[in-house]
Amino acid sequence: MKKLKILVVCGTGIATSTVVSRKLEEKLSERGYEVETRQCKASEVESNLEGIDIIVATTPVPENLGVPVVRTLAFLTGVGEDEAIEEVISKIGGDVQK
Amino acid sequence: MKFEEMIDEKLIFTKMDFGSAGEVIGFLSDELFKNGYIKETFKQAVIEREKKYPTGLQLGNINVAIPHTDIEHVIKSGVAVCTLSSPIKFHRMDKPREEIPIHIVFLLAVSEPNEYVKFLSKLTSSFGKKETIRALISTDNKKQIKKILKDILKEDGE
Repeated sequence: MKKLKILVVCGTGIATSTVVSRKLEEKLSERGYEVETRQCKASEVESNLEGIDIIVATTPVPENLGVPVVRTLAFLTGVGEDEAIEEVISKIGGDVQK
Repeated sequence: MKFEEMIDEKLIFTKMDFGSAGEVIGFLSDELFKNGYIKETFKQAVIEREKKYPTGLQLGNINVAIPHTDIEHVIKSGVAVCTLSSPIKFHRMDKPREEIPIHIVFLLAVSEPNEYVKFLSKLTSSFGKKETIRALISTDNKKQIKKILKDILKEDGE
């Protein structure tokens, strides 16, 4: 079984991304996914992509990273959280098993 | 971390008047500094970071900003809260080129994110609840604000 590896990106890689990481771990494990998160600053995305299945970012990130990106504040503010989880799951693709 | 250590009544300010994001960040940083939460470098670091990675959160009619910076500028975790008598413009976190009017500023001093994350998570999740946000800006009583924040932290039975 493959773990779902998520890169969580915010401005400093400290406060916001920690909140978002814990929320993603909670919500995705409720749906049966095994999740591993890594956090980084928006400026360090490119050097943190190895093994990453999807990026969840609260700030703009560079385009054409070769990894799907979900940009949302939902995991921070709780507004539209269910829709955002659906978006993450729909972008993961078929190779990540529950 | 105990609730009393996270919400310090000395760091709650209501219906204040400022002309810019930099002014309110400067004021709240000075208060955090006076109370031993941050190093002298914190203020400038937050202002610089805000330019590059702004923290305005568009929520609806009432919006919130959560300026913060790297842990190296922080001595102990805490938060300074300020409601504004008239809104101040901050740039949006998700769309940095856009400015939005901000009604409440939470200046976050984070020294160890994992220890602080439950508090932060509950705080930011409450931003999505309109009645909570409205309650925060409708009072000029610090004790009332402290109580609202305390109730936020109590939710979900933790």
